[in-house]
Order: sequence, then structure tokens, then C-alpha cells
Amino acid sequence: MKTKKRDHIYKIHRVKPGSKLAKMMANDPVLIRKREEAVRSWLENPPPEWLLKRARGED
Amino acid sequence: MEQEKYDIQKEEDRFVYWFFSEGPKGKILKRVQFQHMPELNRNAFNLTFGDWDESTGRLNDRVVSNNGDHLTVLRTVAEVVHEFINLWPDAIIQVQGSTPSRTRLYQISIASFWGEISRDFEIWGEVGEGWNPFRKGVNYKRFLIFKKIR
Repeated sequence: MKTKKRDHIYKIHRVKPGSKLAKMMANDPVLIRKREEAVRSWLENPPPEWLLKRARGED
Repeated sequence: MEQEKYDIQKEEDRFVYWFFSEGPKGKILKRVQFQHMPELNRNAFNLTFGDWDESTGRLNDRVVSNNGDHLTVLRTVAEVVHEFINLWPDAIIQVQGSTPSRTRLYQISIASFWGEISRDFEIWGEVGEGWNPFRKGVNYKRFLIFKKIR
């Protein structure tokens, strides 16, 4: 059972560049939407500079 | 007792991780991806998470799997975040659910594993127009996660 599970994932790992599945994954509208939403949220209320500095260990 | 988690498989050339949820509804393939947003900040990433629909080759971030293992799934996602930050230690990961209820699920997840998470990470939540350190019982619009600098 475990081997089968790993094979399944492996198949997805080895998607051939340029293949139909690779193109589908690259153009996944859900991922495109998620990224657009994330960028919009960040721009609408960006994390303050002090928080970004804190993340860099500069506070 | 520590919450169990699933085995994770990582793609080599992208910030993508896979694992299977296993429960009464069978095995459901889950995908976690960190979308780089260098136009905002060179270390900014967005966390995307959902079920992988093989028939369409698309992520489904709105499905409710009801596979009876949500804590194991969320613990696994937390592990994925841990692995990713080890790979990109300066990462600032934005987490926002596809719906307010999904964001709340992330919040419950963070609260559930707070003991482990807070050892290594700082988590800040957006409330109104401000950002505050994560606290249990507070509803947030989104989260920022980054590695604690000691």
C-alpha cells in the first residue's frame, strides 16, 4: 500500500516539461487566482517596515 | 501526545509538497505550494493548499474533504512550512484562506500546535489595519509566518 502511494506521488513529480499535464499545472487558474489574491492583500495592507525588519532580524 | 503527520514528498525544482490524507473517504492527494512574490519582497511567499484534482490537473482550495483527519492534515501542513523555512530561512510566508472559514481553520490549526510552532516561528495576524502577534481566540484576516531570530 505504501509503495503504491509513493509511486502515485512519484508520477506527479516526474511530469514531463511541455506535456499536457505540465501545461495544465502551469496554467492552473486556481493558483493564478491565489497569487492574485495574495498580491492584492499585501498591497492593500502591506506589512509595516518594522515587521519586515523584524523578520530579517534587524529590529 | 504529539499529533501524527503524513509522509511528505517534495518536488525538486519548485516549492511544491505533496502528501496523502487517509480516512473513510479514501486517499486524497494534498498539495502545498509556496508562491514566490518577489515583486512585493524578495522573501515574500504565499502559501496555497488544497486537494489535487487529477482529472483537471488543478488545485481545489475550497473543497471540504471530511476525511476525518483534519488535525493530521494540518499538522502535516505545519511540517511542510517547517521544511520550507529550513530551505529558505528568510522567507516571510503569507497565509490566507480562500474563505473566512478556511482562514479560521488555519487559525485553529496554529492554536492547536502553538506549543511547537512558537518555538521556531513568529506568527503575526492582521486585525483591522494593524498587525499583532498571534494570540489564541483572536480572529485574523491573514497571517505572516517567519523564522524566529534568536
